[in-house]
Amino acid sequence: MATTAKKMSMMQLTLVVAVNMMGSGIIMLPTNMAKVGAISLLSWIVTALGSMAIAYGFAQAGLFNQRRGGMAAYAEDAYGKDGYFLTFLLYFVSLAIGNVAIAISAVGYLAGFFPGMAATPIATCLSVIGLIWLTTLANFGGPSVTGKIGAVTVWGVIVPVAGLSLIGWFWFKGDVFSHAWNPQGMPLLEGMGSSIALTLWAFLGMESAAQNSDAVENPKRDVPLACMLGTLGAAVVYVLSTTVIQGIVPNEELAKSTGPFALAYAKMFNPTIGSIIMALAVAACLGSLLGWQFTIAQTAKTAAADRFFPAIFSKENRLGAPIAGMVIMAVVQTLMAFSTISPSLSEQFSALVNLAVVTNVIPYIISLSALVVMMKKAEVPARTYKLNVTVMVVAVLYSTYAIYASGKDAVLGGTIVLALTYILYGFIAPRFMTGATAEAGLRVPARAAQAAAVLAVLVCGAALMPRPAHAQIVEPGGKLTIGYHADARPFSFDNESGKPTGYAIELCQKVVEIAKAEVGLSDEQVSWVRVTTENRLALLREGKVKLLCGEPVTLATRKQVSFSIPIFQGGVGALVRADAPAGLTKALTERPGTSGPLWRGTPTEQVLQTQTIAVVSGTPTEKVVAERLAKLQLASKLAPVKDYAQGLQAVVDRKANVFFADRSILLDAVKRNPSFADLKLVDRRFSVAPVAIALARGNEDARLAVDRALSRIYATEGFRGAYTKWFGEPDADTVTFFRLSALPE
Amino acid sequence: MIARLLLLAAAAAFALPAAAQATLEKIRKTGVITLGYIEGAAPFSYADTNGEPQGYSVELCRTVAEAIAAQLGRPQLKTSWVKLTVQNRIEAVQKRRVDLECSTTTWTLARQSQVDFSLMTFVDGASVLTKADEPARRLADFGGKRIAVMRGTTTERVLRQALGQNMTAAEVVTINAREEGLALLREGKVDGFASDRTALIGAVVMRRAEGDLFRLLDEDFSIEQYALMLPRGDADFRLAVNRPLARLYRTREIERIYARWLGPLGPPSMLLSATYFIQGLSE
Repeated sequence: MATTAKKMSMMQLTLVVAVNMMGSGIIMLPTNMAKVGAISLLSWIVTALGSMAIAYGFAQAGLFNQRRGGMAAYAEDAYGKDGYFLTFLLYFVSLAIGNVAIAISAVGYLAGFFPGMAATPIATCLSVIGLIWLTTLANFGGPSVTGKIGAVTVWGVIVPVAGLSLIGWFWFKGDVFSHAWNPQGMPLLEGMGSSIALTLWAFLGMESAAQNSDAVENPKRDVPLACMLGTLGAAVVYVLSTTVIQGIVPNEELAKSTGPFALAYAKMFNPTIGSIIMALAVAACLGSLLGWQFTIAQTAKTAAADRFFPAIFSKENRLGAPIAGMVIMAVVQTLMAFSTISPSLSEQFSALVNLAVVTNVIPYIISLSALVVMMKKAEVPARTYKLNVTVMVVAVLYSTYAIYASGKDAVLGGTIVLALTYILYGFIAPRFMTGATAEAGLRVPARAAQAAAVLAVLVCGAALMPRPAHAQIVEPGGKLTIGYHADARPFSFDNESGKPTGYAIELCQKVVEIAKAEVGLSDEQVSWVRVTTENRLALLREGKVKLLCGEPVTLATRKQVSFSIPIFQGGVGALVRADAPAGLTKALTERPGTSGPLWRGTPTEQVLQTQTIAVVSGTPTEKVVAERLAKLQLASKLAPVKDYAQGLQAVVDRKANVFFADRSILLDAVKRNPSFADLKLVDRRFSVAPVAIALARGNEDARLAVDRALSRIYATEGFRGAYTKWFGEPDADTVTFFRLSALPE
Repeated sequence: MIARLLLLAAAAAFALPAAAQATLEKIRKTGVITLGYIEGAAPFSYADTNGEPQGYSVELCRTVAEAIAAQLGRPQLKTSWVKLTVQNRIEAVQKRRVDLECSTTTWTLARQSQVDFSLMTFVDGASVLTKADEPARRLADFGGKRIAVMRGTTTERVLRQALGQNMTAAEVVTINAREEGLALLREGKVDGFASDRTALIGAVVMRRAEGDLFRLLDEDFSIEQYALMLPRGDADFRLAVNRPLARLYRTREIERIYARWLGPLGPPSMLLSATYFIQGLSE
């Protein structure tokens, strides 16, 4: 807000602070809080108190130190130049992360109009990136217009949210709220701690509440008080609006929404009003984002002028816009959007908020803790000193708790940034060495800092960077060895050139293609190895082979290996001649009745002749057939054959009526050999024997990667063609089988 | 300096790998198997008037618990039931607060990065409820017609996707509650109401008088596979859970369990019958 020559009263300043604090940070909160339950509202109590302490602390600090740099300058007072740099860089990074989070909020509300934008994690990510670049490019024309837009559009959030906190109570239903109170049955303390990072997110920016010190009569008294009360005012609006919404929108719906406030208004009035609110929220986010993109570039420019940042950030175009810096920051934000990609929009929002809070709060801790030194230097009276120290301790303790509450992932990310700042600063520090030693506070030698940073990065980096969104089939740089049977037509066999080919091989090759795209696997890292029935399981167990391309799934084998989702239904099938009597086919496909006697005159009785059943002796099928024959309402005699060729020929030559064998073999034979064109497979599967890709036990990530790849493959157009190539057109049961086996994301 | 301490503390915290436990070992030692269920998801998982967990998924878990007791040679194995919610059930399994979760969790790849799943226990499909005399038989026949769906559900998302894929220009009418959808359909304001098949059947079965008014499309435009959730990385436990399930499917005893809990919904759908069949793995 523009300062006026006329002085403001403290109440007016309070109002200014409150309005400045409220922004688009609130609009996604109800969804994430609903996931925990209305009990998360208790977090507001903790956050409100903590934020008031922080705001007060910064206001006090601002009275002692008006140097350019804000928080960073406070840190410098106690910790020297590297304190300045650390605070500055972390804060800077948090702004960038915050921008991505604002962009996600905008996408969440835009998805109310264009559901496609948030339909999948990739769509969400791309939409976010689109908004980031849009708002960056819009700033290329310089600061004249864009900064002002944000100040106007923010009312599009403040009015509905504040409005809801007042009027929403007429639509508030007690039972909806009580239902939403504690769906997870959390203990009270856990409930209070559950949304600390989220609620703090709504307050971030409180450090700039103290910018208007020259607008009031008595800054020393009024500014800290206005900051605290303004924060409290904003907190009241937040608490009321997020509480009342839990009594308007049922918890389950709220938790799934990507535009909670719009949903509330739609429920209160009608969908049109909801759409208006949605549009206002989008405008507010975009306006805010426009402003922040510029701010962040300006901040980088200033830092470059102070020689903390590379000079490229200070290059401006004719209109005064630091374009190079803006582009670099847009790229950084794009990378952050990718690295936090999550199964749902609200999860990605949550991940970003946690990271933003951690990187924002560490500077709070550093700069607020400097108050002690600042006050000593200013020789402040004992009473003020005690009060400020108390407030500061509360603020720092709360901030530390907020870091803890942000969760492991965010702290890991924040720690990496922290470590990197030391590496960076190690190179910049020599610019500021003057030979004079620092006066107060710690002075960390640049080299030791660098060593610590490298160590920390190595320890943490192995666990985090670069974090792929999905489980990988093999570590980056690892080898992928695939085992296959060379004599298992049509699943896997060697062709004339000795290269592996077959249905299973084709599927495995497709899986490898997908892995190549995701992990960046190169051809040299993939090798195909022949295995035998005797050594296949051992090779898998010992890790000499990573995937076994085609293995029948049985419970016994599961003791030794793990399986992907199946690649073929399998099972024993029955082959008959195309001109077989209908009664025979019916008898074969009829399931045994669960009860009831067999009456004369039923279709099965019509097949009076004894049927000759061929089966290859010594195969598991022989046992299956022996069991089944008793149940089939058929007079039959078993005629074992030596091998599959004999069995097929027997049916062709009318020496046998039915040939039982594994379906894959029967389908393959019928497909390949024109002399078998008169044979057909009965639809029924007489046993359950799926085939899948086997992996070593305990290799959960690789198994997930294979399952994901197969699920995607089954959904593509090309898969039907690949199946038909080896087995002929899939029957209805096969289509159902693959539909059931494919898993959704 | 504070920052350095934070750095070292964080580094130490994450260098420790999570210790993997053998669930079967734990069950054998403690003599207790801990099962999770949720309330309010009848007929799959709910609490009866005595507070006892009941339901289709709950009975499947009881069968699994008996089998595990037999496998471990502990006929006196105690079963401890923990009430979970839809929001916390995944985390509960991840954190091993329960050994096995028995409700209505859909098996998805995203979840597979956090937990593991048993063989599928049920398949629900999203379908469209229409008036009995509605000529449209498949989703693709709904061009120019109106379909109601509950706002903000996965069904809404999948319906739009399916319509897009079929290039069917149907008007999607979003509603807030199932009652609304049925009312709109009854009054002819929409031509179809899309939701989960079990929910639709349940809603219609509740109103016997209207049973003949409505009909479900044969087609499922999306399917959801339910499975029991168990901790990730424990292949022995997963096998111990899958073995009794496979036996139920193989011997077709599952039909008895189905009839007891899901019988009122009608016979198993074609998809579900197929699911039972293809998972009847042999030993």
